[in-house]
Amino acid sequence: MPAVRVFVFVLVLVCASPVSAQLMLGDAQHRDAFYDDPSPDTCHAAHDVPIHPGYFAPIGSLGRDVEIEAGLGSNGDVIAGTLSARVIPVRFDRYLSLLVGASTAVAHRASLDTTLGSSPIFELGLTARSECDRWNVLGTIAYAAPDPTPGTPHDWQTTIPSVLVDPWNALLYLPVAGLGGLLATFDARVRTDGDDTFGAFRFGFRAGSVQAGSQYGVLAGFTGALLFEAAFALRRAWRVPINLALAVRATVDLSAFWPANAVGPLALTVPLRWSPDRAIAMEIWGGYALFLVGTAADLPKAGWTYGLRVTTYIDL
Amino acid sequence: MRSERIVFVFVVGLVGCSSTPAASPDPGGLPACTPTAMLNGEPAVWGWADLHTHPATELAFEQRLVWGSGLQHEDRIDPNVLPAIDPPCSVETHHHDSGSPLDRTAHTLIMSLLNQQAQYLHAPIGTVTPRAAHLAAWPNGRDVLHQQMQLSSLRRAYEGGQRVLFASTTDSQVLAQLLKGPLYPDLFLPVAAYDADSAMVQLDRIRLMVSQQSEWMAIAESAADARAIIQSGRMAVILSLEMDSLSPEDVMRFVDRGVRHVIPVHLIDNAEGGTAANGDIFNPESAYMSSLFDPTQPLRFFEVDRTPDVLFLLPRPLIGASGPGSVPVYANLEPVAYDWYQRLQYDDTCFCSLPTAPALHAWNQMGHANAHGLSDAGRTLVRDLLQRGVMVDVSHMGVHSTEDALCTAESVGRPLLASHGGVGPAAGPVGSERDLSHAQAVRLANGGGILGLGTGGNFAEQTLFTQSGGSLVTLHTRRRSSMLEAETCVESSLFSSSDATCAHPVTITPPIAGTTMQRIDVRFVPGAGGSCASNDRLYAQITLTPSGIPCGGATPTIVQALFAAQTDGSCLASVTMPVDLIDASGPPMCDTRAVSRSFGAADVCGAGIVMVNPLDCSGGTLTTTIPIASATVSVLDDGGRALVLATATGSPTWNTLGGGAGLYGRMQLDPLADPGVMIGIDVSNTGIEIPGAGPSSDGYDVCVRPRACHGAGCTCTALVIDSGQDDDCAPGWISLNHRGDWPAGSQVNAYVHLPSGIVAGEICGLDMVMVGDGPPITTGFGVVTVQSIHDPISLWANEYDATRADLFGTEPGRIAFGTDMNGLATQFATTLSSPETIDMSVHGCATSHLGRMTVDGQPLRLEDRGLGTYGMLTDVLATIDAHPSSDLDAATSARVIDSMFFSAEQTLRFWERVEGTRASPPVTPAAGCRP
Repeated sequence: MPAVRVFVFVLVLVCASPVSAQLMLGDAQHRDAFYDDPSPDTCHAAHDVPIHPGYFAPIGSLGRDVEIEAGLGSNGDVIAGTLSARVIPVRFDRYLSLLVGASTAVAHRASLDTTLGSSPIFELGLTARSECDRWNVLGTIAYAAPDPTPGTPHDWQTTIPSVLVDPWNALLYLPVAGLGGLLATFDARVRTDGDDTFGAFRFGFRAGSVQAGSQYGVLAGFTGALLFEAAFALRRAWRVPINLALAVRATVDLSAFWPANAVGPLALTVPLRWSPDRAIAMEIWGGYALFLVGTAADLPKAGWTYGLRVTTYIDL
Repeated sequence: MRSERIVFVFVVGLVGCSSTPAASPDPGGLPACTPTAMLNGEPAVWGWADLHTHPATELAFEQRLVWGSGLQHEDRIDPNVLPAIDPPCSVETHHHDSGSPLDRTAHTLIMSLLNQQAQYLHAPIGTVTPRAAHLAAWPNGRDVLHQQMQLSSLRRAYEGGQRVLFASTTDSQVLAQLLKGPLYPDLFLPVAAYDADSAMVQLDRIRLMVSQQSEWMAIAESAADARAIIQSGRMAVILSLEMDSLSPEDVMRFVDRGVRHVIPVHLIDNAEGGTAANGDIFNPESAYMSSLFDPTQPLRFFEVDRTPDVLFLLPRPLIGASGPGSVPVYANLEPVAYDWYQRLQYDDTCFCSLPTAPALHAWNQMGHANAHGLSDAGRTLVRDLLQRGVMVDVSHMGVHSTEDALCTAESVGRPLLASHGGVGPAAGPVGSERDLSHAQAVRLANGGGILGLGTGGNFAEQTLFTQSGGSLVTLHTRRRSSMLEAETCVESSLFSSSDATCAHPVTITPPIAGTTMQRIDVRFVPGAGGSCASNDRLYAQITLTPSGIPCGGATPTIVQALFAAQTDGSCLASVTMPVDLIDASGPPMCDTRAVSRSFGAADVCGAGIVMVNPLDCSGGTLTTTIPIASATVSVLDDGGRALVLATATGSPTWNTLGGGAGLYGRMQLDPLADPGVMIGIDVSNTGIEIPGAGPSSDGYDVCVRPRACHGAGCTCTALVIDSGQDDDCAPGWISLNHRGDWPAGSQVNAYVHLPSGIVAGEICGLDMVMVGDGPPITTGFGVVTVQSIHDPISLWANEYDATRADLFGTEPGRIAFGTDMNGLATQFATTLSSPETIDMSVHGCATSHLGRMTVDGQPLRLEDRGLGTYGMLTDVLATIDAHPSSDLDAATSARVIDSMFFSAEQTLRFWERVEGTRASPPVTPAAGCRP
């Protein structure tokens, strides 16, 4: 898995760098002053309970300086796993932060005995939040590094059902080649007010151009995705922290690469999330994924999909 | 499918190109007519037969190759009106609205290569461009990727006298796999059920078509059926199989379902026997399918014999670059490993594998024939089929398979047929096994068999002049409208980039002014400028020493030479390749320098050669200087000339390469009685690819205008020729094939009808311009040629008549059409002129009165379109009947028409002989037949 090695290497470099450390951490006094600034009165008891990842407080929220997420899902005979890390190296002020990240994936299709490892995707962007985290937007530009190994037919036959597992991250499963790929992402979240329960909504859109390797050589095409999510969060019951969220999530991939006129795929899933602690969120999800239009010959056209995701946060 | 030589082509796509149409109203049958003529003293049914067609090909190849449906949506089946293709197809891909670069690339590769094979570039068809462009592009006799057998067209053939139609299935599993684009597995694994499934679908479609038109056609399951159908005024449709890999059990199951004509061996070696080794592409295709028949071999290429009876040579096979079994993607091919190639012994009688050189290899030692005959299962199948009254076809069988089939048929006293192809000369080799050898044709005829003659046609072309080499002509485009609106159209220049106007277009003139050349034969091979590792055949040139060469004499010598050479397995430092293997600068004749561009009748001093590419030659290309010790010109039995050259075995240069060599060449020097002119361009590898016409672009077109020097003291002036086409060229200019894709290696050409009084020999130059609505581009063409051509329909009629007389004496009707329509086979490309109306009366019965077939109100003329749609077979017969060309005399014309209108009857009599209800001529198995 050279891709994973590269990813880990880069992550270690970023995190271990003295400059990065300075950028991320600053000195303790400054950091405390930074976080203590918003008053509880303004933010409506936001300090009463941990800020829970997964259904509202993403990377860039107060205290959310490092996010490491690992996911594993399945569709048919495909198992796909992702690993990503995001870091806030610079906070321009309380509301606007710089974000860097890297991610990679691996997928295995049993019937073909094919394992697909993606090259890393590096992202750079800005995240902005409202004062009380009632909304949060994230805009990034990601670069997908090319993989020198050309995409074989088996790779493509593994890619497509892998995208059924996670259409939002289709780029991770494409056999990126040539000059790589550029992907712009806009990701917005908003939540309702509430102490014990609230609703959270998320809308994401990403689009870009990528060069993919195939038996025909390097081909360029559009890639993109849409995401919509609505969640109901139960933060407390009888003043006892519960920290559960139940969501419905729809993601559709818009990439132009899928053969045989296939459009999609679309995944409709129901994630159930739980944050036992401020530093960790866990999610299990299940649902159904299908191609909206077209017939992808010799490929899964629809099927049940399910998986789990674990996110850890390091609040610096 | 008739197998022409094809560049290694495997790939394409079309999903949803055809849809299930509503049933078309049955237009009703014509009144039955009993001919007045008797055949061998017996009454005969009237009409002609086509022994090989593919009415449902759009359902083959995973439904991704041929666009359009044979069934029609129109309310009326009108023999004069061809419905436009609907829905329109995408130019590059034959794929509906595919945004996937994977699909687009896969399909474009296949489309491009198949179109190159047909020398017909796909032009916009349908709504993406103005209607006129659609109509200029389709139908066309060289267009193999669109349905040519719509019901209207079949109806026209019927009203023109067709009474027997062999309706066959076909497919190619390898091609179908590649058409699926990126989704096939890394390793190609043939599926035993594929061919049977595909054949089932196609046969069901044919049955549906016949059932919807039952007033004028019906399926015949016996000769008696067929006779009754024809006597009722209808056309008899005979279900047929032409599949690659059906097992004998599959075949018999189809016979149980009404199939009455079987081609047991198609394009690959299968369980029944060995195929004709006649195309580069079919060798790897056969190998990829071989695991279905011989699991012990990862890939089994053709195993061949060397024979003086065949000229065709198989090259070093290509396979997928990932090794044996890996999918043969066009963009990812490479020659088989060199030791593997050596084990195939394709060159075993050549000097290549010998430590010392044989002194001489005559031309007649060079050919390849498939070493495999029919298997035991194949012979049993042939016997069983014949004994069940099923017609067995030797088309596509190799020489040995044909021999075994003939022996089997002779042993059971039943005849065979050869439904499509040609017959070799009485003496001398056949071009490839795909043509029946003369001796085997005689046996087939003597046994009571019949033949179908393909309608691909040839031109017997003779090149008037040619220019070649690198980026020969530089053309700058300007907007198309400027050419249409003003005479100051497009700037262009020859060998320079300066602008000019239409008053000074690119003008190409013969290199030797005033030279009367009978023929120049030039074969430019793209790839010569590339890596030698990518192609196992490279044309090089040799230098002939003046001694012993008949330069300057009156004896015609070679125009094309094939020469095999091989290095010792590595690139020799001394070996370099000329950039221009056809030297455009034109060295003096009889110069000791290499000469291979212009070969007149008396001035051949050089020849192109083919070099076998060494292993792992990583850069550069090859050429060498090979002293020739002796040269002998001989006259071949068919009138051609053979030049046999021998190298000096002691030559240091040659010894470096490992041996001696032989060259051969043949040419036919027939005078042109009534030639037309064909102007062609090869798009070389050195040229910039011209953008094709896509959904958002109209692409580019090249317009040409020949110049002629007419009369004493003439000057070379431009001819103003009305092409009769609504295209993008200004009046007086001729479009070279539309605005489709122009990939490197393409050939585009146009057939020009010279103004009255101008003869082909007076052509002295060619103006070229290029137009397009896209951004200005500069490009070049590798070879530009102007050739005189014979009228292909006249040639066909003459060949028909000669073959009939040769094989059947005075008996008419035993040669029918074998068009292979819709079988990826090109058809007649043009003719000198065809009648405006058709009203033939033969043997006391008459065809319908037919006008020109039209599409969207525009007339379809054979001279413009060639045999672009099946119904124009009627026009072909009417053209033969009218014999407008002086290449076809009245007596021959009459014999051909008389014979063709007996071909339905002869087909029935042949079938009766197969069934045993009519006595076959007594024959005994030839000596040498296996027991």
